[in-house]
Amino acid sequence: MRLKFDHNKCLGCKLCEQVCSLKHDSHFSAGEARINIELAYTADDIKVKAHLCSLCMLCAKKCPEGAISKVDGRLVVDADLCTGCEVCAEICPRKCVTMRAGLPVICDLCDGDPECVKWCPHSALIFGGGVKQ
Amino acid sequence: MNGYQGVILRVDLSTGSVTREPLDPAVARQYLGGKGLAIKYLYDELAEGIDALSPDNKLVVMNGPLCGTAAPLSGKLAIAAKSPATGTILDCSIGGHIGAVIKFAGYDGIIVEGKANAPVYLNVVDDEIRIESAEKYWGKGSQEVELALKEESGEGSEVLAIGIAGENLVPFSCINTDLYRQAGRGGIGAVMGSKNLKAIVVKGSKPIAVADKERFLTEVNAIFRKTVEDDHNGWAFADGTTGNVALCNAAGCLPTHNFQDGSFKDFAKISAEAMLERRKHKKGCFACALGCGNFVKNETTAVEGPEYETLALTGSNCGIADFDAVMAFNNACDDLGLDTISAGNVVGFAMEMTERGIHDYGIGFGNVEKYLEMPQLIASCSGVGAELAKGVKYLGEKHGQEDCAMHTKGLEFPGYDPRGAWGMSLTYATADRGACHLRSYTVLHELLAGSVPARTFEGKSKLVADMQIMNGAKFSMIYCDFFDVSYEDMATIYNCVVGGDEMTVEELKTIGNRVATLARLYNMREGFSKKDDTLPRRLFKKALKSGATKGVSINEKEFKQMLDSYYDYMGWDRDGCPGAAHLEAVGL
Repeated sequence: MRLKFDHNKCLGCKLCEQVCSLKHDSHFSAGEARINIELAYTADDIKVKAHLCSLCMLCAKKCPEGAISKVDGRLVVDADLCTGCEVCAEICPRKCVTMRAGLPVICDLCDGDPECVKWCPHSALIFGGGVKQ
Repeated sequence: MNGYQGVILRVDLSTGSVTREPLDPAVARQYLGGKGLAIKYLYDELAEGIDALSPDNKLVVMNGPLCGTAAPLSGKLAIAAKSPATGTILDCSIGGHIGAVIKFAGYDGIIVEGKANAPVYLNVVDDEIRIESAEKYWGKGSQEVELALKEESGEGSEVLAIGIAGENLVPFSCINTDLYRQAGRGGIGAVMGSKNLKAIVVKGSKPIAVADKERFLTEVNAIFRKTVEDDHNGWAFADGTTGNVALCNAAGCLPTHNFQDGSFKDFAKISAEAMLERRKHKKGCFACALGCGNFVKNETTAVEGPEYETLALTGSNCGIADFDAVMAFNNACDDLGLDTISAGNVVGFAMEMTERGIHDYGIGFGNVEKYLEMPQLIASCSGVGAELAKGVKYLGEKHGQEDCAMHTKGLEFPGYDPRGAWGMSLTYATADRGACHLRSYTVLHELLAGSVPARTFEGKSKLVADMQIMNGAKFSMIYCDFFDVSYEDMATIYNCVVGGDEMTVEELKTIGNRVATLARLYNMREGFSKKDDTLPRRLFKKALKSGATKGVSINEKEFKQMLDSYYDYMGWDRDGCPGAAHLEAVGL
């Protein structure tokens, strides 16, 4: 089970990011969310950028310390094993692993009940996709 | 202060001084933010009778306690000043993401004073504030400037910018953000231009504290889900505001040929169907749950819109039955920084004057070629544009055609002919910034929901008063007009975010009334009175010619009775003046 995103239904409202911040960090924030989706106008078009975890597991496979693992379908970081080498953030193909205070910040699917999905106005984000987007 | 950052940024462009002032929590409680707080600062700080285009005017930019949070439809920003078009108080509401980014930069508002001696832009990155030269941007379109400044400032930055209309002090110039969204009315762009301020670019990284996380995630989510799942809100994601074209046409309320008619035979060519054929993507503002924005493209033009107001005023009101032409006109106005509502009125008026032989502006109804030349001529004040740029009130007086100059207090009419929705006659006559549809959008009840009959005065004075009072609170919170939110839900969301003493429905009603009354006091101080709460005489004297409102005009005597009754409901005397007892009741 992973997050799936359909840009045709996305407004670029950033509610997903805001509730992600609130859920994990207990405040609203511009750049701390574990998901980042943006609809931006160019001179004559609209550009969609979506950084969300697809559970590709590359970060776990490449972690030299084995600090990232999948538990009950969710990514878990073992802070005791992590050395803060940032390999996970560098390797993530979707650019959705960031570093904070020397530790990777990765989507944990809110323990199986993703808050972002509950606030997505037109179901651009859904949880339950078994197939890679 | 949960929800707030507790800081107002004050910038004096004359001296270059930048100060951070604490936001007084007691004042924030009394006026919330947005419209209310902006008007409070302006009422206290502007001297009586100042020239709106002088350095004495101030540009007040205010988000609200919810902006930047996930409270639904709260991502709006108020931009306020004394209006150069009307001389009244003026507050505009702009969407996009700029309001939230100002909050993330650490500010509840920005007050810009004085005048720079050369073109500048304000660059705000958290605590770092710079006033930078805008010489290379002066004379450029607002869209080009926004894209260039975003490129310079990097990801996450947002911009407020004016086009050349604002630079040239056109009294219906606007401020743009997110390329296609505006603080549109009353010449707010000219206030920015008069300060030699081309743009404000903001980037921020500060968190926003919330009073009760768990309550927010449950109670506000329930309000959010209720809003999204309500069928009455489905219009936004489906067609956006373009659905109003067919609806208003059927109701005989669609401005046509400078308000000579209320229905347009070619309405289908500028309707939702035409938009859907060209739509590439939906777009919403920060924290939007509805998503009214339509990004459309054809071979020559890309634009978000055209919104209903643009389709009505620059479409049917100008006799233009060509969606692509309206798109081009719309995009030109956005980039040049012109309000499409007023621009459509001005061009429609010029078309009528030309066709009736009163004055030859070289353009008649439906002349697409000449029509498409108008935005550039008006924004640059050249050719016929030099005169048209002065607005419909001026033009009406110049030609002795006041009866058909469609404005109140100098602000041109929006896209609802009051003869098709009678509550709008009182709405236009009494709105604090002149003819504005948003202060009390009775069309919602008269036509969209159909919950009250459209062509009667009965119950309308109370409806208008109730809506203006509610919007005093709603536009201060600051919510999108399209959020059909109850007082109860407003109170719940406020309590989840801001906390402290429990906000009640009664307190919100008092705040709404306080804000509406303070706007009235500002206008009274500028010399406005009951005599200005009026309508162009075309509405009283001329009946519409076709469609559902064929033969309908506004009964002046009944209109005046409705106005008196409205004052009663507002708690003001029959001259429209709030008395001492009322002022005390609303804490003024």
